[in-house]
Amino acid sequence: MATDSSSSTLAHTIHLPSQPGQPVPVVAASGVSGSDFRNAIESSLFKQWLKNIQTQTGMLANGAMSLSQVLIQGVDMFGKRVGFLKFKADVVDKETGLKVPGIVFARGPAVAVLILLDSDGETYAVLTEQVRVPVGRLILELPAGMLDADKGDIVGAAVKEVEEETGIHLNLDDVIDLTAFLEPSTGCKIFPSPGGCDEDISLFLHRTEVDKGIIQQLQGKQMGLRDQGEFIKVHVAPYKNLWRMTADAKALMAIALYEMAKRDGLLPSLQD
Amino acid sequence: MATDSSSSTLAHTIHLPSQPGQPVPVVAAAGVSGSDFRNAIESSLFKQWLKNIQTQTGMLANGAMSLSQVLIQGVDMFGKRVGFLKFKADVVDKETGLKVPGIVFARGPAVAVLILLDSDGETYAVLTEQVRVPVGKLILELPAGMLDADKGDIVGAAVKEVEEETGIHLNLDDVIDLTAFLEPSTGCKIFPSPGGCDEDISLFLHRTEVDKGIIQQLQGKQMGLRDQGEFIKVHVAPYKNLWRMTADAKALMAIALYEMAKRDGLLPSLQD
Repeated sequence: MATDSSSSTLAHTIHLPSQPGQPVPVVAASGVSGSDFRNAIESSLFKQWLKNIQTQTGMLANGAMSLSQVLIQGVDMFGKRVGFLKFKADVVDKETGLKVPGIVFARGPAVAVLILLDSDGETYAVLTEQVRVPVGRLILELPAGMLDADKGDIVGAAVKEVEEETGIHLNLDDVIDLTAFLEPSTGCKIFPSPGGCDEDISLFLHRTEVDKGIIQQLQGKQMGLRDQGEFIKVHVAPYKNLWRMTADAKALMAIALYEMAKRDGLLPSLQD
Repeated sequence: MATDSSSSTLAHTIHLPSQPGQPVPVVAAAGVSGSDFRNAIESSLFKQWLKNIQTQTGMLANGAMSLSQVLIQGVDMFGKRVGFLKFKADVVDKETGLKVPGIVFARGPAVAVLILLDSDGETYAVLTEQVRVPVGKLILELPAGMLDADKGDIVGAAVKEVEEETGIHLNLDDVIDLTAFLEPSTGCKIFPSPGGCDEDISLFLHRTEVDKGIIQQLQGKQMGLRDQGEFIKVHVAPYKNLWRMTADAKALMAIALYEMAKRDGLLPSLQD
Protein backbone atom coordinates (compact mmCIF):
# COMPACT_ATOMS: atom_id res chain seq x y z
CA MET A 1 0.00 0.00 0.00
CA ALA A 2 2.67 2.55 0.93
CA THR A 3 6.42 2.78 0.69
CA ASP A 4 8.80 5.04 2.55
CA SER A 5 10.77 6.17 -0.45
CA SER A 6 8.64 9.01 -1.70
CA SER A 7 5.47 10.68 -0.52
CA SER A 8 4.06 10.47 -4.02
CA THR A 9 3.64 6.74 -3.55
CA LEU A 10 1.78 7.06 -0.26
CA ALA A 11 -1.82 6.47 -1.07
CA HIS A 12 -4.79 4.63 0.31
CA THR A 13 -8.37 4.29 -0.80
CA ILE A 14 -11.38 4.33 1.44
CA HIS A 15 -14.72 2.86 0.45
CA LEU A 16 -17.53 4.59 2.26
CA PRO A 17 -20.93 2.92 2.46
CA SER A 18 -22.39 6.45 2.38
CA GLN A 19 -21.07 7.06 -1.11
CA PRO A 20 -20.99 3.77 -2.95
CA GLY A 21 -19.34 4.09 -6.33
CA GLN A 22 -17.18 6.99 -5.24
CA PRO A 23 -14.21 5.65 -3.30
CA VAL A 24 -12.09 8.26 -1.54
CA PRO A 25 -8.34 8.54 -2.17
CA VAL A 26 -6.28 9.43 0.88
CA VAL A 27 -2.91 10.94 0.01
CA ALA A 28 0.04 12.34 1.94
CA ALA A 29 1.37 15.87 1.74
CA SER A 30 5.03 16.28 0.98
CA GLY A 31 7.08 15.69 4.10
CA VAL A 32 4.69 13.11 5.60
CA SER A 33 6.66 9.89 6.09
CA GLY A 34 5.41 6.43 5.38
CA SER A 35 5.04 5.62 9.05
CA ASP A 36 3.28 8.93 9.76
CA PHE A 37 0.87 8.20 6.92
CA ARG A 38 0.11 4.71 8.16
CA ASN A 39 -0.30 5.96 11.72
CA ALA A 40 -2.65 8.65 10.48
CA ILE A 41 -5.00 6.43 8.51
CA GLU A 42 -5.03 3.79 11.24
CA SER A 43 -5.59 6.28 14.07
CA SER A 44 -8.72 6.43 16.22
CA LEU A 45 -8.89 10.13 15.34
CA PHE A 46 -9.22 9.48 11.62
CA LYS A 47 -11.53 6.50 12.02
CA GLN A 48 -13.78 8.49 14.32
CA TRP A 49 -14.02 11.31 11.80
CA LEU A 50 -14.91 8.87 9.04
CA LYS A 51 -17.55 7.44 11.35
CA ASN A 52 -18.91 10.90 12.22
CA ILE A 53 -19.41 11.93 8.60
CA GLN A 54 -21.47 8.83 7.90
CA THR A 55 -23.86 8.87 10.85
CA GLN A 56 -27.52 9.78 10.44
CA THR A 57 -26.68 13.39 11.24
CA GLY A 58 -23.35 13.28 9.45
CA MET A 59 -22.42 15.45 6.50
CA LEU A 60 -22.75 12.61 3.98
CA ALA A 61 -26.12 11.54 5.30
CA ASN A 62 -28.49 13.34 3.00
CA GLY A 63 -26.40 13.00 -0.16
CA ALA A 64 -25.99 16.75 -0.60
CA MET A 65 -22.23 16.62 -0.06
CA SER A 66 -19.54 14.32 -1.28
CA LEU A 67 -16.03 13.62 -0.04
CA SER A 68 -13.65 13.50 -2.96
CA GLN A 69 -10.22 13.25 -1.31
CA VAL A 70 -8.36 13.48 1.97
CA LEU A 71 -4.84 14.93 2.20
CA ILE A 72 -2.89 13.95 5.32
CA GLN A 73 -0.89 17.08 6.18
CA GLY A 74 0.79 16.20 9.46
CA VAL A 75 0.90 13.86 12.41
CA ASP A 76 2.01 14.59 15.99
CA MET A 77 2.84 11.42 17.84
CA PHE A 78 2.48 11.29 21.61
CA GLY A 79 4.74 8.32 22.14
CA LYS A 80 3.21 5.44 20.22
CA ARG A 81 -0.18 6.94 19.52
CA VAL A 82 -1.33 9.72 17.26
CA GLY A 83 -1.89 12.77 19.49
CA PHE A 84 -2.87 15.33 16.87
CA LEU A 85 -3.67 14.82 13.21
CA LYS A 86 -4.01 17.51 10.58
CA PHE A 87 -5.69 16.82 7.29
CA LYS A 88 -7.58 18.50 4.50
CA ALA A 89 -10.82 16.95 3.31
CA ASP A 90 -12.14 17.96 -0.10
CA VAL A 91 -15.87 18.17 0.49
CA VAL A 92 -18.09 19.34 -2.32
CA ASP A 93 -21.64 20.63 -2.31
CA LYS A 94 -23.06 18.61 -5.18
CA GLU A 95 -25.63 21.16 -6.29
CA THR A 96 -23.18 24.00 -6.84
CA GLY A 97 -19.97 22.03 -7.24
CA LEU A 98 -18.37 24.38 -4.71
CA LYS A 99 -16.01 23.22 -1.99
CA VAL A 100 -16.76 23.59 1.70
CA PRO A 101 -13.80 24.53 3.94
CA GLY A 102 -12.24 21.22 4.89
CA ILE A 103 -9.11 21.72 6.96
CA VAL A 104 -9.22 19.68 10.14
CA PHE A 105 -7.07 19.83 13.28
CA ALA A 106 -8.02 16.55 14.92
CA ARG A 107 -7.38 15.96 18.60
CA GLY A 108 -10.39 13.97 19.70
CA PRO A 109 -12.63 14.18 22.75
CA ALA A 110 -12.00 15.84 26.09
CA VAL A 111 -13.62 16.16 29.51
CA ALA A 112 -13.79 18.97 32.05
CA VAL A 113 -15.21 19.26 35.54
CA LEU A 114 -16.82 22.16 37.36
CA ILE A 115 -15.93 21.47 40.98
CA LEU A 116 -17.94 23.47 43.48
CA LEU A 117 -17.05 23.34 47.15
CA ASP A 118 -19.41 24.77 49.76
CA SER A 119 -17.63 26.02 52.83
CA ASP A 120 -18.65 28.48 55.51
CA GLY A 121 -21.55 29.90 53.54
CA GLU A 122 -19.57 30.50 50.35
CA THR A 123 -19.40 28.39 47.22
CA TYR A 124 -15.97 28.03 45.67
CA ALA A 125 -14.84 26.81 42.26
CA VAL A 126 -11.61 24.84 41.88
CA LEU A 127 -9.46 25.90 38.95
CA THR A 128 -6.11 25.02 37.44
CA GLU A 129 -3.53 27.55 36.38
CA GLN A 130 -0.90 26.57 33.84
CA VAL A 131 1.01 27.90 30.87
CA ARG A 132 -0.78 27.21 27.63
CA VAL A 133 1.70 27.66 24.81
CA PRO A 134 -0.91 28.20 22.06
CA VAL A 135 -2.22 31.29 23.83
CA GLY A 136 1.24 32.07 25.11
CA ARG A 137 0.42 32.64 28.75
CA LEU A 138 -0.72 31.28 32.09
CA ILE A 139 -4.46 30.86 32.25
CA LEU A 140 -7.10 29.73 34.72
CA GLU A 141 -9.21 26.81 33.52
CA LEU A 142 -11.53 24.09 34.75
CA PRO A 143 -9.66 20.85 35.46
CA ALA A 144 -9.77 19.02 32.15
CA GLY A 145 -8.00 16.59 29.90
CA MET A 146 -8.07 14.72 26.63
CA LEU A 147 -9.87 11.41 26.55
CA ASP A 148 -7.96 8.36 25.51
CA ALA A 149 -9.92 7.83 22.33
CA ASP A 150 -9.56 4.11 22.51
CA LYS A 151 -11.26 3.94 25.87
CA GLY A 152 -14.87 5.00 26.18
CA ASP A 153 -14.92 5.69 29.91
CA ILE A 154 -15.67 9.38 30.02
CA VAL A 155 -16.62 9.61 33.69
CA GLY A 156 -13.50 7.67 34.65
CA ALA A 157 -11.39 10.06 32.62
CA ALA A 158 -13.01 13.05 34.34
CA VAL A 159 -12.30 11.62 37.79
CA LYS A 160 -8.71 10.86 36.81
CA GLU A 161 -8.04 14.37 35.49
CA VAL A 162 -9.44 15.93 38.66
CA GLU A 163 -7.16 13.72 40.75
CA GLU A 164 -4.04 14.47 38.67
CA GLU A 165 -4.67 18.17 38.42
CA THR A 166 -6.10 19.04 41.83
CA GLY A 167 -5.46 16.07 44.08
CA ILE A 168 -9.18 15.83 44.80
CA HIS A 169 -10.35 12.26 44.81
CA LEU A 170 -13.83 11.70 43.40
CA ASN A 171 -15.90 8.58 43.04
CA LEU A 172 -17.55 7.85 39.71
CA ASP A 173 -20.99 8.65 41.09
CA ASP A 174 -19.87 11.93 42.63
CA VAL A 175 -20.21 13.71 39.30
CA ILE A 176 -23.24 14.83 37.32
CA ASP A 177 -23.04 14.92 33.56
CA LEU A 178 -24.01 18.45 32.56
CA THR A 179 -23.72 17.81 28.85
CA ALA A 180 -26.30 15.05 29.20
CA PHE A 181 -28.89 17.82 29.55
CA LEU A 182 -28.41 18.78 25.92
CA GLU A 183 -30.99 17.53 23.45
CA PRO A 184 -30.02 14.18 21.93
CA SER A 185 -29.83 15.74 18.46
CA THR A 186 -26.73 17.61 19.60
CA GLY A 187 -24.91 14.39 20.44
CA CYS A 188 -24.70 15.59 24.06
CA LYS A 189 -21.21 17.01 23.68
CA ILE A 190 -19.98 20.52 23.03
CA PHE A 191 -17.76 21.60 20.17
CA PRO A 192 -15.34 24.34 21.25
CA SER A 193 -14.20 25.27 17.74
CA PRO A 194 -16.11 23.32 15.09
CA GLY A 195 -14.87 25.43 12.17
CA GLY A 196 -11.37 24.03 12.48
CA CYS A 197 -11.18 21.31 15.11
CA ASP A 198 -12.89 17.98 15.75
CA GLU A 199 -12.72 18.39 19.51
CA ASP A 200 -15.78 17.64 21.59
CA ILE A 201 -16.10 18.17 25.32
CA SER A 202 -18.16 16.41 27.98
CA LEU A 203 -18.72 18.60 31.03
CA PHE A 204 -19.29 17.34 34.54
CA LEU A 205 -20.34 18.90 37.83
CA HIS A 206 -19.19 17.91 41.28
CA ARG A 207 -20.60 19.81 44.22
CA THR A 208 -19.95 19.04 47.86
CA GLU A 209 -19.53 20.59 51.28
CA VAL A 210 -16.05 20.80 52.77
CA ASP A 211 -14.33 22.19 55.82
CA LYS A 212 -12.52 25.51 55.50
CA GLY A 213 -9.23 23.66 55.89
CA ILE A 214 -9.73 21.88 52.57
CA ILE A 215 -10.11 25.22 50.79
CA GLN A 216 -6.88 26.46 52.37
CA GLN A 217 -5.00 23.27 51.49
CA LEU A 218 -6.04 23.49 47.84
CA GLN A 219 -5.18 27.15 47.34
CA GLY A 220 -1.89 27.39 45.46
CA LYS A 221 -1.17 23.64 45.55
CA GLN A 222 1.32 22.52 42.89
CA MET A 223 -0.01 19.58 40.86
CA GLY A 224 0.17 17.90 37.46
CA LEU A 225 2.28 15.17 35.88
CA ARG A 226 5.72 16.73 35.45
CA ASP A 227 6.89 14.10 33.00
CA GLN A 228 4.00 15.08 30.76
CA GLY A 229 5.02 18.71 31.07
CA GLU A 230 2.09 19.57 33.34
CA PHE A 231 2.94 22.37 35.75
CA ILE A 232 -0.32 23.15 37.43
CA LYS A 233 -1.15 25.40 40.32
CA VAL A 234 -4.55 24.99 41.91
CA HIS A 235 -6.71 28.06 42.51
CA VAL A 236 -9.87 28.27 44.55
CA ALA A 237 -12.14 31.22 43.91
CA PRO A 238 -15.69 32.23 44.81
CA TYR A 239 -18.02 30.68 42.22
CA LYS A 240 -19.97 33.93 41.92
CA ASN A 241 -16.86 35.56 40.42
CA LEU A 242 -15.97 32.70 38.11
CA TRP A 243 -17.76 34.01 35.04
CA ARG A 244 -15.61 37.13 35.00
CA MET A 245 -12.25 35.85 36.10
CA THR A 246 -11.34 33.37 33.42
CA ALA A 247 -10.88 33.40 29.66
CA ASP A 248 -11.54 29.65 29.61
CA ALA A 249 -14.47 28.63 27.40
CA LYS A 250 -14.95 25.45 29.44
CA ALA A 251 -15.72 27.47 32.56
CA LEU A 252 -18.32 29.61 30.82
CA MET A 253 -19.91 26.59 29.14
CA ALA A 254 -20.17 24.81 32.48
CA ILE A 255 -21.66 27.88 34.11
CA ALA A 256 -24.29 28.11 31.38
CA LEU A 257 -25.26 24.44 31.69
CA TYR A 258 -25.21 24.52 35.49
CA GLU A 259 -27.23 27.72 35.83
CA MET A 260 -29.78 26.74 33.18
CA ALA A 261 -30.17 23.22 34.56
CA LYS A 262 -30.68 24.68 38.03
CA ARG A 263 -33.21 27.20 36.70
CA ASP A 264 -35.16 24.46 34.96
CA GLY A 265 -35.14 22.29 38.09
CA LEU A 266 -33.06 19.55 36.50
CA LEU A 267 -30.46 19.19 39.23
CA PRO A 268 -30.96 17.10 42.39
CA SER A 269 -32.43 19.15 45.21
CA LEU A 270 -29.17 19.16 47.17
CA GLN A 271 -27.97 21.74 44.63
CA ASP A 272 -29.56 25.00 45.78
CA MET B 1 17.78 33.93 4.55
CA ALA B 2 16.03 30.94 2.98
CA THR B 3 16.29 29.01 -0.26
CA ASP B 4 13.76 26.81 -1.95
CA SER B 5 16.07 23.92 -2.68
CA SER B 6 15.90 22.01 0.56
CA SER B 7 13.99 22.44 3.80
CA SER B 8 17.20 21.91 5.72
CA THR B 9 18.36 25.34 4.62
CA LEU B 10 15.19 27.09 5.72
CA ALA B 11 16.05 28.81 8.92
CA HIS B 12 15.49 32.10 10.63
CA THR B 13 16.52 33.49 13.97
CA ILE B 14 14.36 35.56 16.26
CA HIS B 15 15.76 37.82 18.93
CA LEU B 16 13.28 38.24 21.75
CA PRO B 17 13.67 41.14 24.17
CA SER B 18 12.21 38.81 26.81
CA GLN B 19 15.16 36.47 26.57
CA PRO B 20 18.22 38.46 25.66
CA GLY B 21 21.22 36.27 24.98
CA GLN B 22 19.06 33.35 23.88
CA PRO B 23 17.99 33.90 20.29
CA VAL B 24 15.36 31.51 18.97
CA PRO B 25 15.95 29.46 15.82
CA VAL B 26 12.88 28.98 13.64
CA VAL B 27 13.14 25.98 11.33
CA ALA B 28 10.92 24.26 8.78
CA ALA B 29 9.65 20.71 8.91
CA ALA B 30 10.20 18.46 5.91
CA GLY B 31 7.76 19.37 3.17
CA VAL B 32 7.44 23.04 4.09
CA SER B 33 8.41 25.05 1.03
CA GLY B 34 10.50 28.19 1.04
CA SER B 35 7.50 30.37 0.29
CA ASP B 36 5.40 28.63 2.97
CA PHE B 37 8.21 29.22 5.47
CA ARG B 38 8.52 32.89 4.60
CA ASN B 39 4.75 33.33 4.69
CA ALA B 40 4.66 31.65 8.08
CA ILE B 41 7.30 33.75 9.78
CA GLU B 42 5.94 36.96 8.27
CA SER B 43 2.31 36.18 9.11
CA SER B 44 0.20 38.17 11.55
CA LEU B 45 -0.59 34.87 13.25
CA PHE B 46 3.05 34.17 14.09
CA LYS B 47 3.85 37.75 14.98
CA GLN B 48 0.87 37.93 17.28
CA TRP B 49 1.94 34.75 19.06
CA LEU B 50 5.44 36.14 19.55
CA LYS B 51 3.85 39.27 20.91
CA ASN B 52 1.56 37.32 23.25
CA ILE B 53 4.37 35.34 24.84
CA GLN B 54 6.24 38.52 25.70
CA THR B 55 3.48 40.57 27.28
CA GLN B 56 3.32 41.23 31.01
CA THR B 57 1.09 38.17 31.40
CA GLY B 58 2.88 36.18 28.72
CA MET B 59 4.69 32.91 29.31
CA LEU B 60 8.14 34.48 29.09
CA ALA B 61 7.26 37.29 31.47
CA ASN B 62 8.51 35.94 34.76
CA GLY B 63 11.59 34.18 33.39
CA ALA B 64 10.43 30.73 34.51
CA MET B 65 10.10 29.45 30.96
CA SER B 66 12.29 29.75 27.92
CA LEU B 67 11.60 29.31 24.22
CA SER B 68 14.38 27.32 22.62
CA GLN B 69 13.11 26.69 19.09
CA VAL B 70 10.11 26.91 16.80
CA LEU B 71 9.41 24.32 14.11
CA ILE B 72 7.08 25.45 11.33
CA GLN B 73 5.04 22.34 10.50
CA GLY B 74 2.52 23.58 7.98
CA VAL B 75 0.83 26.55 6.40
CA ASP B 76 -2.68 26.79 4.92
CA MET B 77 -2.97 29.74 2.58
CA PHE B 78 -6.36 31.41 2.09
CA GLY B 79 -5.51 33.12 -1.16
CA LYS B 80 -2.59 35.43 -0.45
CA ARG B 81 -2.72 35.34 3.31
CA VAL B 82 -1.90 32.71 5.87
CA GLY B 83 -5.21 31.25 7.05
CA PHE B 84 -3.97 28.58 9.42
CA LEU B 85 -0.47 27.99 10.70
CA LYS B 86 0.76 24.94 12.56
CA PHE B 87 3.96 25.00 14.53
CA LYS B 88 5.72 23.36 17.44
CA ALA B 89 7.33 25.58 20.04
CA ASP B 90 9.95 24.04 22.31
CA VAL B 91 9.20 25.66 25.66
CA VAL B 92 11.17 24.59 28.69
CA ASP B 93 10.49 25.05 32.37
CA LYS B 94 13.90 26.25 33.50
CA GLU B 95 13.72 24.81 37.01
CA THR B 96 13.11 21.22 35.95
CA GLY B 97 14.42 21.35 32.41
CA LEU B 98 11.19 19.66 31.29
CA LYS B 99 9.30 20.63 28.16
CA VAL B 100 5.78 22.01 28.20
CA PRO B 101 3.45 20.80 25.41
CA GLY B 102 4.06 23.25 22.57
CA ILE B 103 2.08 22.26 19.49
CA VAL B 104 0.05 25.17 18.18
CA PHE B 105 -2.77 25.30 15.62
CA ALA B 106 -2.89 29.02 14.94
CA ARG B 107 -5.96 30.59 13.37
CA GLY B 108 -6.20 33.94 15.14
CA PRO B 109 -9.13 35.83 16.59
CA ALA B 110 -12.85 35.42 15.95
CA VAL B 111 -16.12 37.12 16.81
CA ALA B 112 -19.62 35.80 17.48
CA VAL B 113 -22.95 37.47 18.14
CA LEU B 114 -25.90 36.43 20.29
CA ILE B 115 -28.85 37.96 18.46
CA LEU B 116 -32.04 38.09 20.50
CA LEU B 117 -35.28 39.17 18.87
CA ASP B 118 -38.32 39.93 20.99
CA SER B 119 -41.57 39.28 19.21
CA ASP B 120 -45.08 38.69 20.48
CA GLY B 121 -44.01 38.02 24.04
CA GLU B 122 -41.30 35.50 23.14
CA THR B 123 -37.56 36.01 22.86
CA TYR B 124 -35.87 34.28 19.94
CA ALA B 125 -32.24 33.56 19.18
CA VAL B 126 -30.93 33.68 15.61
CA LEU B 127 -28.65 30.81 14.67
CA THR B 128 -26.79 29.56 11.64
CA GLU B 129 -26.83 25.98 10.46
CA GLN B 130 -24.01 24.72 8.25
CA VAL B 131 -21.82 21.72 7.63
CA ARG B 132 -18.66 21.87 9.68
CA VAL B 133 -16.21 19.40 8.19
CA PRO B 134 -14.05 19.03 11.32
CA VAL B 135 -17.01 17.69 13.30
CA GLY B 136 -18.41 16.04 10.19
CA LYS B 137 -22.00 17.22 10.47
CA LEU B 138 -24.47 20.08 10.23
CA ILE B 139 -24.51 22.11 13.40
CA LEU B 140 -26.38 25.08 14.83
CA GLU B 141 -24.13 27.94 15.92
CA LEU B 142 -24.17 31.62 16.75
CA PRO B 143 -23.36 33.78 13.71
CA ALA B 144 -19.59 34.10 13.84
CA GLY B 145 -16.46 34.53 11.81
CA MET B 146 -12.71 34.88 11.86
CA LEU B 147 -11.28 38.36 12.29
CA ASP B 148 -9.00 39.68 9.63
CA ALA B 149 -5.95 39.79 11.88
CA ASP B 150 -4.53 42.81 10.13
CA LYS B 151 -7.57 44.90 10.92
CA GLY B 152 -8.43 45.66 14.50
CA ASP B 153 -12.09 46.50 14.03
CA ILE B 154 -13.79 43.79 16.04
CA VAL B 155 -17.25 45.36 16.22
CA GLY B 156 -17.19 45.99 12.48
CA ALA B 157 -16.28 42.37 11.89
CA ALA B 158 -19.16 41.22 14.09
CA VAL B 159 -21.65 43.37 12.20
CA LYS B 160 -20.31 42.12 8.86
CA GLU B 161 -20.59 38.45 9.84
CA VAL B 162 -24.17 38.94 11.03
CA GLU B 163 -25.04 40.56 7.71
CA GLU B 164 -23.36 37.86 5.61
CA GLU B 165 -24.72 34.96 7.58
CA THR B 166 -28.23 36.11 8.50
CA GLY B 167 -28.98 39.12 6.35
CA ILE B 168 -29.68 41.16 9.48
CA HIS B 169 -28.21 44.63 9.20
CA LEU B 170 -26.82 46.03 12.44
CA ASN B 171 -25.26 49.37 13.23
CA LEU B 172 -21.99 49.44 15.15
CA ASP B 173 -23.71 50.73 18.26
CA ASP B 174 -26.46 48.12 18.16
CA VAL B 175 -24.19 45.56 19.82
CA ILE B 176 -23.00 45.20 23.38
CA ASP B 177 -19.60 43.64 24.02
CA LEU B 178 -20.24 40.77 26.43
CA THR B 179 -16.59 39.79 26.69
CA ALA B 180 -15.84 43.31 27.94
CA PHE B 181 -17.43 42.24 31.24
CA LEU B 182 -14.52 39.91 31.92
CA GLU B 183 -11.86 41.11 34.31
CA PRO B 184 -9.02 42.92 32.51
CA SER B 185 -6.53 40.25 33.63
CA THR B 186 -8.26 37.82 31.26
CA GLY B 187 -7.58 40.01 28.27
CA CYS B 188 -11.33 40.27 27.77
CA LYS B 189 -11.49 37.49 25.21
CA ILE B 190 -12.34 33.82 25.54
CA PHE B 191 -10.13 30.93 24.54
CA PRO B 192 -12.18 28.04 23.13
CA SER B 193 -9.35 25.49 23.16
CA PRO B 194 -6.21 26.93 24.73
CA GLY B 195 -4.41 23.59 24.99
CA GLY B 196 -3.98 23.37 21.25
CA CYS B 197 -5.19 26.50 19.53
CA ASP B 198 -4.43 30.22 19.69
CA GLU B 199 -8.01 31.20 18.90
CA ASP B 200 -9.67 33.88 20.97
CA ILE B 201 -13.28 34.98 20.67
CA SER B 202 -15.02 38.27 21.33
CA LEU B 203 -18.73 37.82 22.03
CA PHE B 204 -21.39 40.42 21.33
CA LEU B 205 -25.07 40.79 22.16
CA HIS B 206 -27.74 42.39 20.04
CA ARG B 207 -31.26 42.50 21.39
CA THR B 208 -34.19 44.21 19.77
CA GLU B 209 -37.95 44.02 19.23
CA VAL B 210 -39.24 42.92 15.86
CA ASP B 211 -42.55 42.17 14.17
CA LYS B 212 -43.59 38.54 13.82
CA GLY B 213 -43.04 38.84 10.08
CA ILE B 214 -39.30 39.28 10.59
CA ILE B 215 -39.11 36.02 12.53
CA GLN B 216 -40.95 34.21 9.74
CA GLN B 217 -38.73 35.72 7.05
CA LEU B 218 -35.58 34.63 8.81
CA GLN B 219 -36.63 31.07 9.50
CA GLY B 220 -34.93 28.79 7.00
CA LYS B 221 -33.36 31.59 4.96
CA GLN B 222 -30.41 30.50 2.84
CA MET B 223 -27.37 32.71 3.39
CA GLY B 224 -23.59 32.77 3.30
CA LEU B 225 -20.91 33.56 0.73
CA ARG B 226 -21.06 30.68 -1.74
CA ASP B 227 -17.68 31.45 -3.25
CA GLN B 228 -16.18 31.02 0.20
CA GLY B 229 -17.96 27.70 0.56
CA GLU B 230 -20.49 29.06 3.05
CA PHE B 231 -23.84 27.29 2.81
CA ILE B 232 -25.79 28.64 5.70
CA LYS B 233 -29.39 28.20 6.70
CA VAL B 234 -30.78 30.58 9.28
CA HIS B 235 -32.70 29.17 12.25
CA VAL B 236 -34.76 31.10 14.75
CA ALA B 237 -35.52 29.37 18.03
CA PRO B 238 -36.88 30.38 21.42
CA TYR B 239 -33.97 31.68 23.50
CA LYS B 240 -35.14 29.73 26.55
CA ASN B 241 -34.36 26.51 24.65
CA LEU B 242 -31.03 27.65 23.25
CA TRP B 243 -28.87 26.18 26.01
CA ARG B 244 -30.07 22.67 25.23
CA MET B 245 -30.41 22.69 21.47
CA THR B 246 -26.91 23.37 20.28
CA ALA B 247 -23.49 21.77 20.69
CA ASP B 248 -21.85 25.12 19.91
CA ALA B 249 -19.54 26.39 22.65
CA LYS B 250 -20.05 29.98 21.47
CA ALA B 251 -23.77 29.79 22.25
CA LEU B 252 -23.20 28.49 25.77
CA MET B 253 -20.45 31.02 26.43
CA ALA B 254 -22.72 33.85 25.31
CA ILE B 255 -25.56 32.55 27.46
CA ALA B 256 -23.27 32.46 30.50
CA LEU B 257 -22.04 36.02 29.96
CA TYR B 258 -25.51 37.33 29.14
CA GLU B 259 -27.25 35.70 32.09
CA MET B 260 -24.54 36.58 34.59
CA ALA B 261 -24.29 40.17 33.35
CA LYS B 262 -28.07 40.45 33.61
CA ARG B 263 -28.05 38.98 37.11
CA ASP B 264 -25.37 41.41 38.23
CA GLY B 265 -27.26 44.35 36.75
CA LEU B 266 -24.60 45.15 34.19
CA LEU B 267 -26.83 45.35 31.14
CA PRO B 268 -28.82 48.45 30.15
CA SER B 269 -32.30 48.43 31.63
CA LEU B 270 -33.95 47.74 28.28
CA GLN B 271 -32.69 44.19 28.69
CA ASP B 272 -35.22 42.61 31.08
